[in-house]
Amino acid sequence: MRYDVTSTGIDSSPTPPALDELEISVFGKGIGECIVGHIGGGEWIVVDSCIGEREPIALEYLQKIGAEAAKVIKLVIISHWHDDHSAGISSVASAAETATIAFAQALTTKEFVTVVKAYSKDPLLPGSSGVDEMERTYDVLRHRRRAGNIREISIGPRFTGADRRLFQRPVGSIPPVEVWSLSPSDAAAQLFLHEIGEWGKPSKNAKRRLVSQDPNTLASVIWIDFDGYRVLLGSDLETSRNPSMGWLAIINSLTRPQGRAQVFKIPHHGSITAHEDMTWTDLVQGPISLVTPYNSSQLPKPTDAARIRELSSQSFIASKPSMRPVLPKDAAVAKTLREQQRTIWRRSTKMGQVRLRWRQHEDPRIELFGAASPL
Amino acid sequence: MKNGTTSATLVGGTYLSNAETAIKEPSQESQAYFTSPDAVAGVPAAENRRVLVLAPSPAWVPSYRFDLLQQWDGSVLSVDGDRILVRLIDKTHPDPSANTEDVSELSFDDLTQEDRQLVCRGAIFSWYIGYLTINGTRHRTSQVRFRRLPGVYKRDLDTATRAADEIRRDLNWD
Repeated sequence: MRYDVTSTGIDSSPTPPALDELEISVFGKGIGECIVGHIGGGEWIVVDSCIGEREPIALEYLQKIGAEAAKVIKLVIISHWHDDHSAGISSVASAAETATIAFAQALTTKEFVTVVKAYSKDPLLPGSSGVDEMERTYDVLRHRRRAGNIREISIGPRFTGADRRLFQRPVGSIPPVEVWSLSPSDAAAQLFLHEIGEWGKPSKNAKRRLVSQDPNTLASVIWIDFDGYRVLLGSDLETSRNPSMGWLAIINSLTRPQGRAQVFKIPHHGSITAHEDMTWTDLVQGPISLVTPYNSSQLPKPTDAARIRELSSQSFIASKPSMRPVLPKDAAVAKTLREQQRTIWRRSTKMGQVRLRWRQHEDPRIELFGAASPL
Repeated sequence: MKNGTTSATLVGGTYLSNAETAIKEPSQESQAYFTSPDAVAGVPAAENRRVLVLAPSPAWVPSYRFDLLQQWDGSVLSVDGDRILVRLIDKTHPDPSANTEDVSELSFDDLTQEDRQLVCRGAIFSWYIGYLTINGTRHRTSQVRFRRLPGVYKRDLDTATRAADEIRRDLNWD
C-alpha cells in the first residue's frame, strides 16, 4: 500500500473521487472532528461536523472539489450532541437540502428537547454545550416540514440505534453500499434519558454548563459496507461494564451486519476508555486506523498511540495533539501568572485531513493534508 | 446604632434613631436618658439630656478601586483531587476566529471557602487579574469567583417545556 503526503494547505489539487470509488476523509484540528464520505455515484455522507476556516469543513471541502452540497449529500449523521462533534452541523443540514438527517431517537424526546430549550442561547454560560446546534437542527427540520415540497424522507430525522440500516443502494452500475448505525443500544438510550432528565428539573443550585454523560454510551457508531469493503466509524462511543451498552452491546449483537471492517475511525480520540479488546477481534481485521485528537485531554496519549499502532496495519492522525502556552499581552498579567505558577494553554487549531480512497481490485490510497500525519 | 443612620440617641441603654427620638415623649418611666456628666443639679433631667451623635468621619470611609487588566470566563472540565481543569474564554482579548480555546489548571487554594462548595463539572466562574487600590495603596491581585447564576426555576422549565412541546408537535414526535 502506498500513501502520499501533501504538505501545503488542505488539498493543493482537489479532485473528486471516481463514481465507483469509496472515499473516507477524516478531518480534525484538536477540537472537533468531521467525516466526509463518498459512497459512489457522486453521493456523499457527512458524519458530525467541525468548523474549517470559516464554515463547516464538510461544506468547504465539497465546494473545493466542485460538489454541490445541496444535491450530493444524501445522509447527514449527528453521532451525538457534544459540541466538539456538532459544531456547524445545523449549517450542513441546512445546505444538504435533499439529505436525510439522522440522529439518536433519544434526542427527540421531551426530556432532551426541554433541556435544549432551557440551556441554549444562555449568554451567562460561556461557550456552547452542543445544545445550540441541536436547537438549530430542529429549526432546519421544522423549516423543511413547513416548506411542504420536500420529499417526506428528507424531512427526517431517521433514527440511529442498534443495527439500523440508514441507507442502501442495491447492486447496479454503481457499487452497492449499505450504511448502518450499530448504536446506541436501547439500554443506553434509557440511561441517557434518566440522566438528562435530572437537568430538566427545577434546581436552586447555581446554574452550570451542561456536561456530557460519562462514559459516553449514546454515541452512534456507523458501519459502511461499500461493495464488501467495510468501514467502522467509532464516534465517541466508550466501553461500559454493562454488556447491554457501549462496545460490548455491539459485539454481542446477533443482528448487526456481518463481516469485519478494513478501516476503523478510532473512537473517543483513542482514549483507553473506548478500548475494548473484542472490538479488534470481532469488528475489525488488521485495519487502517484513523484518529482525531482532542487537545484539552491530551488525547491520544502516547500509550494510546502505541496501542493503536500495534493493533493496526497502518494508522494516521488528522492533526497531532498539541498545546502551546499562551503569553499574555500585558506584562503585569504575565507576572501574576508566573507568581502563581499558572499557565494558560491554547489548543492547536491546525486542521488536518486523512483521505482514504478505494475501488475494487486496487489497494487503498491514503493521502495526508494539512496537519495530518502517520500516528 | 441602627443600620442606615448616622446619628442616634442613647435612650434607656438603647440607641434610637432621630425619628424615634423625635416622636418619643419623655416620661417618668423613660428618664434614663444619657445624662451628661456635667449635669447641673436641680435642672430637669430632660434639659440635661444630651444627644449622642455618631457620625463617621469622612476619613474613615474606605475607598476601593479595581483596574481590570485581564478577565477570563470559564467552566470546569474536570476535578482531580486538588486540581481543577478549566476551559477559559478570553474576555479581554477575544479571538474573533472562534477557533481557539484555552485551558488551564486551578487549585482549591485559589478559591474562597464559599466558592469551593460550587466546584463541579460545568460550574461557571470568572477570573480577574488587575490592580486593587484600597485607600491609596495599590495591590496587584488575581481573583477567581464562581458564579452564582440563578438556578433553573420551575417557571423557566415550564417555558422550556412549552417550547419543546411546540417543536415536537411541529415535527410529529409525539
